[in-house]
Formats: sequence, C-alpha cells, structure tokens
Amino acid sequence: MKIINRPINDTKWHRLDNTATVFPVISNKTFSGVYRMSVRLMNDIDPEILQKALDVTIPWFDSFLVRLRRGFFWYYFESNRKRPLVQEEKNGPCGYIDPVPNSHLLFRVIYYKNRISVEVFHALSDGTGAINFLKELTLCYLRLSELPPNTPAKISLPTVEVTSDSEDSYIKNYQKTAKLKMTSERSYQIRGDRLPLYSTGIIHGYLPVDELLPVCRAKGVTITQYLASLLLYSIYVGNLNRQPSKYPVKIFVPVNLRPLFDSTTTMNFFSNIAIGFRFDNQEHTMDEILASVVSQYKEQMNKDIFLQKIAANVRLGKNIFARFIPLVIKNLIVKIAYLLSFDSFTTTLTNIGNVSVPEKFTSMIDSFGVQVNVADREPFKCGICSYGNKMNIIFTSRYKDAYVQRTFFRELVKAGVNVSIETNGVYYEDL
Amino acid sequence: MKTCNRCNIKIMDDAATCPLCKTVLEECEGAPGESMYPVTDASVKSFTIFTRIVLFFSIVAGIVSIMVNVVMYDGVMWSLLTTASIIYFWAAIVFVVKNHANVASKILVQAVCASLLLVVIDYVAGYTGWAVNYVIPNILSLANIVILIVILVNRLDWHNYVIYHIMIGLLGFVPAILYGFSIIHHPIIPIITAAISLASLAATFIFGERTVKSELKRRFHF
Repeated sequence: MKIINRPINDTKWHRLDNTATVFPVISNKTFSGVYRMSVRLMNDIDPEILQKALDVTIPWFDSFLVRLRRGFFWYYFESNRKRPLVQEEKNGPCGYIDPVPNSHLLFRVIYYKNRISVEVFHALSDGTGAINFLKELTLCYLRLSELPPNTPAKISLPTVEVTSDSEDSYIKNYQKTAKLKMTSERSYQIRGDRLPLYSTGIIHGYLPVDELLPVCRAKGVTITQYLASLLLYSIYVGNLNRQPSKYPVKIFVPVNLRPLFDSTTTMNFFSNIAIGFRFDNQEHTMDEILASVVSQYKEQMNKDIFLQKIAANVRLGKNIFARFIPLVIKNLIVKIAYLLSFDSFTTTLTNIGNVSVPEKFTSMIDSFGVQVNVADREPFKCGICSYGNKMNIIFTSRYKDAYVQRTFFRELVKAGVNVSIETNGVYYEDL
Repeated sequence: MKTCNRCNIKIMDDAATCPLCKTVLEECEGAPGESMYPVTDASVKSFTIFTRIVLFFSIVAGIVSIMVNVVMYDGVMWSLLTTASIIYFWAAIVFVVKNHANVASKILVQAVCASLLLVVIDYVAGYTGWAVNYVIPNILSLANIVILIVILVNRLDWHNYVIYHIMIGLLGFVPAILYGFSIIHHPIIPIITAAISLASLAATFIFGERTVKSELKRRFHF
C-alpha cells in the first residue's frame, strides 16, 4: 500500500483534467455533478465485509484518494490520506458530496439492501473510471464474503484490468486541427411540473437484451441508436403530444474516447455527440427518426471530429491569457458560459454498454446500473447499462409526471420486449 | 410482483398503482414487491429557524440604528459603528463558528475583520489614530504568533497553513509601510510587528523549505 508508506510530508498533487475544471464551478447543493454506479447482488450487503473490500480495493485506485483545492489560477487535486468509509444509503441518489463531512473525499460508497453504489463527483473521473472501481470493489466483496468470518483481508492483485494511470488524455491527444464550428442553437426543453426541491424521480426499466436485440437487428441499427431514437420519439409523443416544436429535441450522448485514442486514464476522457430531431409536424414516425439518428451517428462518430472537439477544449486551457486569469474570475466566466449554454440539450442519454465480470462471479451478481444526476437546469436524463442478458435503463427526472418514460417503456413492450420497472417511490406520493 | 394491464409492464415495487399511468395494479406471480430505495426526507432546509431569527433581528437592528441616528443627528455618525459591528458579527464570528474552514484562514479573516472594525470605531469616535497606531499592529503580531503555534502543534498539516501564514506575514509589514507614509506616527509597535513577521516568515522558509516551496508551486501553478 504505497499510499500509507509514502513520506508523510510529500503531498502529491495533479491538475484537473480538461473537462473536469467545469464541475467544481457549476456544482452545488442543487446541481451535484455526481453520478452513481450501482450493482445489485443476490444477498443483502454486509457492511463490515464491504468496508474490508473497500480498504483492500482503494489503494489500486489512488486517483480517487484526493481532495479538491483552490490554487490562485486553477483548481487542483491533492492526495488525501483519509480512509473512505462505507455508509448506509439514507438520501436520494446522486446527492451533492459536501467535502467537509466526507473527509474531503469526492466519492462515496453506499449500500442498501442488496445494492452497492459508488457515487462519484464528475471532476474525479467519468463513468468508465467509476465502473472499473465498482467492479473491482464488488469482486473483492464477493471474494471476501466467501471466506470464513474474521479472516484478515489480504491484499491481492485486482481481478479486472486496473490501471492507476492519471494522465490528462485530452492534452496528450491534442493536435492543432481545423476549428470546430460551434453551433449554439438552443433545444426544446421538456415542460412539466417539477418535483419538490432535492427530490428526484427514478424509474428503472429492466429488460432482456436477447428480446431487444432482434428488434434492433430488424431495423438494422445498434442498441444505442435504437434507444436514442426511442427517447426522441417518447419526448415527441409523451411531452410534445405530437405538436410541432420551434426548437429541435437534442440528446447529449457521451462517448468514451479511451478505445478511440488507446488511453487507459482513470480521469475523465469522454466527448459527446449530439443526436437531434426537429419535430415540425404531427405525423413523425419512429422509422423516420431512426433513419435520421443513424445518419447523425455516422456523421459524428468520427475520430477527426473528436480530435477537433478535444482541440477546442484544450486550446482554451492552453491560452496564455486564460491561464493567468485568477480562479475567481475564471469561475465567473465558466458559470456564465454554462448558464448560457445548458439549454442547448434537451436530455442526456449515456450507455456504458455491457459490464462483464469473470465467469465464476456471474451467478452472484443480479444487475448493474448507472444514474446521472438531475437538477432544475438539467431535469431529465437517462443511463443505460447491461449485465449478461439484463439491461437496466434508468431515468432520473425532476418532473412530477412520467409521460416520456411511459411512452418509452410502452413502445418497448409493443415491440415485443418484456419490461419490468422499479421506482424510488416518488411517483406514488402525490395521490 | 404486480402488473399493469394498461402498460403491460411488471411493477417490482410495493405499490398499488402504476407509476407510469396511475392505473390500479393487479397481483401476479413472483416474489412480493419491495422498495429498493430508502425513504428520504426531501425537506432539507439551508437555514435553521434560529439563524433566521438572528439574521432578521440583526437587519432590523441595523435599520433602526441608522434611522434613529439620521432623525436625531447630533454630529456623531454612531450608527456606522453599530452597522459595522453587525456586519463584523456575520462576516467574522459566523465564519469562525460555523464554517469548517482551515484554522489559519479563520485567524487571518478574524485579524483582518477586527482591524477594519477598529478603524471604523476609531473614526466614529473622532479619529485619534489609536487603532492604526497601537491596536492593529498588535493584532497582526498576535495572529502571526498564533498561526506559528498552530503550525507547531499541527506539523503534519503544515502545508495547509502555509498560504495563510505568508499572507498574515506580509500584512505584518503594512503598519511599518504606513509609518513610511506618515499615516502612523509612533514607530515602535509597527517595527516590532514587522520584525515578528520577518522572523516568522524566515522560520517558515528555512524550516519548511520543501513543504513551503511545493505548496506555493501548487497554489500558483498556471
């Protein structure tokens, strides 16, 4: 455990990666910037074993053991020697991580019944980094829970591919490129009454992948393309009520850049594509949307475009004037830029794909899930992941009604997919 | 488990109606529904009622004192003093008591706010210069020494205090500079303050060479 043996005065530090710099500025109690990765096991969680598993796992993920500090010009991460403690889940998901009571750590490990969740502040890492951590923690937990009680937890090599690589892959892959044409057209914003402050509506939809796959195959599209189209269609039917809209409905789809640029960083390394559709009459069909979404994917899923996006992002941080602006003023500029641009997307759809574990553990795990935080400014989001044959689609929402989710799941049922849903109870309260 | 006949969807919760369409659910085979989320209290308040009362009365007190002062003006702007004290209370006391900030930063804030308040008091009471000449230099020396003690006691966290220590150290030279500009007329106390500052800054840089250097590098990286 190199962290503990390190000379005590030698404080390590590193810069935030290029996208992370935004999160400390825009995050607060109502916009947490926190997402949740969770796993459901077959049996209830034993907190003591989970704590042991966390103690054993965390040294492999030392990029999580940091605290956020303010420099004069930039934020930075400083190594944090505090021991992270598992907590029972008491609050709603993806809540703000107040650093002070949390030993200045920017993530938390919580458990409830048979679920383990890792909630991470987005400045630390993106979903890929967090799901690796959760996977490793879970496997360690499962291994430890097979041992007879009171056996001291031994440190063993991690089972999944773990790297403690905290490079800023944005800067590493920066090339001078042609300037990206930025479009800042605003998008349609879902309308509806909001839930009370600090409460979030969650609907999980569980469905078998082998029933969804033939549906997508029949249309000749990928699962993400199909689900993105279905989400557009659901907003059209469920929220627009098939009325034409002045602004296009646009979905922010994060894209993991690691496979494209051969990176193994545990920090943020993602970009996004924008999948949109302009609903200008009352007769749009799912097939029409599908065709448009497929062509948008083809156009945007392109390494050159991502290079341009990376360059646009890095160029700002490299600008000599920008670098010497005091942090206070930088924060002000970032905040204003954010407030001017948050309505350029209607919603977010993130699909982290299939989570796999070594075969001997497969029967001990029920499902994985990903939840993205919502706030009044970004009120509706969707996180998808699958494990084995079980896909878990989670809608997080600040709206009282669930018409979009209803259309979404009903359409899946119509297509011949068996759906079962689960909520966090918020939708039953107003009866 | 239950099922909604209108949505054709199974509901895994322990619920009577469908969360999507509010239709009454029908029981079907499978394990009984169970909620997978804890019941939470959404009514989080950012201020307690006590804070609200104190905040309200401090605003009322400020308004009343200004009003009375203006109506019955006799040449002394004493309401400046009351409002400055109220602002000092909120800015300094509340910051020190409630905030979880670094001890050294609290000392720094306290020293600066108290100094400003003293200048206001001196000014309102017909400026004689006692604040800038005697009291403020001593406050700065005291703050300097207290931060040194904090560092000695808490050596492992030294790097956390460095930036505040340097700031208070630099502030310690201000009275001497003011003497240079003849704003302060009695040189002895400002010179002692500057000497204490110089000594404690020297101590920091000599004994904490690596800690201080790396902390400054972090804080001012660009």
